[in-house]
Amino acid sequence: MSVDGLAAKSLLLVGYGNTSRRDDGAAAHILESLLLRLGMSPEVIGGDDDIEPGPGLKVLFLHQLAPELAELVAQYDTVVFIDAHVDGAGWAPLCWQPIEAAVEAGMVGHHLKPSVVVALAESLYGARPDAFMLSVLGHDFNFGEELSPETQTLAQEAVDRLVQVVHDHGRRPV
Amino acid sequence: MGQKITIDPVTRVEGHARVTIQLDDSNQVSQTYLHIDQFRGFEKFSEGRMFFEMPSITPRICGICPVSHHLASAKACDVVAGVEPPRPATLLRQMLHMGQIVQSHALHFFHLASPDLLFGFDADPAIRNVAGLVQVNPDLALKAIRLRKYGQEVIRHLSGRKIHMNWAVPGGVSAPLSEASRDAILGDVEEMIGIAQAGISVAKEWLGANQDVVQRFANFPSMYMGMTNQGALELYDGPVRLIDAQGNQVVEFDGADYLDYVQERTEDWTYLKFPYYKAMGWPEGVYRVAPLARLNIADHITTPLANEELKSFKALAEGPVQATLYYHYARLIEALYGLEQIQVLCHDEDILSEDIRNTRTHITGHGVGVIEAPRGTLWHDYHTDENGVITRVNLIVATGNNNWAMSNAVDMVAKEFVKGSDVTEGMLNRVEAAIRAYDPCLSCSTHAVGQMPLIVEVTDANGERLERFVRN
Repeated sequence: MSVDGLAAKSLLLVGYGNTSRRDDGAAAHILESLLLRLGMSPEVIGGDDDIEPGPGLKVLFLHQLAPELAELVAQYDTVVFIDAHVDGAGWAPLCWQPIEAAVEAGMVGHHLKPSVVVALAESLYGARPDAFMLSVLGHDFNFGEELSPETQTLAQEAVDRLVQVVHDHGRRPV
Repeated sequence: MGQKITIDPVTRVEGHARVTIQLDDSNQVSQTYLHIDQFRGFEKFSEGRMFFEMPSITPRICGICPVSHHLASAKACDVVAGVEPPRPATLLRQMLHMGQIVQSHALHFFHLASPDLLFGFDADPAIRNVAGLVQVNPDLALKAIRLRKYGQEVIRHLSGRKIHMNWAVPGGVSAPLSEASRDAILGDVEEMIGIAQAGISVAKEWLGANQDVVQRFANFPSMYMGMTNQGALELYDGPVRLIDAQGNQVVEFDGADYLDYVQERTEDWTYLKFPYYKAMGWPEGVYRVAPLARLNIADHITTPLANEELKSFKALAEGPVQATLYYHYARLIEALYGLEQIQVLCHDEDILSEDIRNTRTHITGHGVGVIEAPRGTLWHDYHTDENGVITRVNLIVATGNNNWAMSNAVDMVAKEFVKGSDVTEGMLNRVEAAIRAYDPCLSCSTHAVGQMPLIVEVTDANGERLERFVRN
């Protein structure tokens, strides 16, 4: 058991995107704010460093998803992928949805989709973590490091959601 | 009335690309175009920054080959700063580069190329993917991930990060290699060499058994360009050599003088320019780069196992090996070389030295860095003011150097395999495979959800759309 009597489940937060393409890097901003809310320094976000705010909780940021991530994903009960999406994807501006394992020819590239990473975790390592997508609508994908005002607002709502997720998993930073 | 088929964007390729297949009035392919729609803005984005920031800015161009940009940038900055790195720093940079070669080539072969090779171009897309690979050969799939991860770990041991490092700096590197990291790198390298050799076996077996496809699939003569070091395969530093389609040396030049030898042609249907050998003009001066080119140029490889494979590669043809699908074989030979070279570097007496940076600098105002990235020759060219503020940047990226080759390969494959306007999955996959063989990386792009569907459009000669369907 862990905080507040909740059964502790391990939680992996994986943000990804290009921090030089404004809203495409929304996940980095979201994770930085989350770490601040958890009382940690966010200085290490921006590479692909692993950050462990507490036992059973890992946070990392990647430029893009690659096959070897499957091994790490397989070690967690829950995985949340954090990204931005474009208008027209059919998603709500702040989107939270489960991810089903899925692979298709033509989606196996340098950049993998979260569903493929989850599928690899299952097929290679026999693990079936609960996987979710948390995504904010991007408004500006031009060169630059700041978020657009609209996406910045959504990013703060995403942080609120992640704080709740961390709490729901019985995780608290030490 | 002629028709036009557009594949938009190409799957399993970084960034945004479209393929337009133009049919003539008799429904035969008349011309195929590869369009790169993503505008590269990093040059403008970099202006006004201090030159020493560039090695940490430019890796963000790409999540797959950040090390190549990092090192090409650092080499350019060495020149801007008028400073020569000490030998240990050069060795460490070379090792970082080998880690990059290993991880990038492993990713491409096992996760992009092998589904086509193991299942065939016409296989059901439901199995022609990495999950299918896991089902039929889980051991190979796990080894593939281990090899990719090993390359990433080499990079992390040296630079502290797997991507977006801030380690190579003007005049050297910012941190030495620890003995523990050196031992960790050495501890796994023999196993990784075995994995690379297993990959080579898979490639050779398929290429040998499918010669009819290999010889029909974008098999064309061209010139080849790449670095050498006194005839040996070289990926980090050395003169750039150009050979003709018969294997004769055309020219060898200092990479810093590239503007005297390389010119870029623009077309109004693509943002990506077409580099060519200036003295011969367009289109006679076109060339290919990357693994196939480098092995065609090299007389030998300095490490024994890779050199033995090079002999097998050279035995495939009287002169240069021309068939596009041999890029897959060449890529794995380079991965093997990278692993052997890591061993060599680990045993160098200077590899643990802390003499890693020369800090005496004077701003020269201009510097060119050139390196052989996994996807080919990569140039970074910086101009600064007297204070080191970037005033102008020119990048010739590795993928750009193969722009003509990819376009030509796509055109040849479409003409060979696409018959009529009733385009099948297998036909489309062959066209895409022609591009994937060059492992292009167009990823100054974003990767936000919703940006990468595959759209095929059939239009008439006037651009009016006749049919459109989406493949995800």
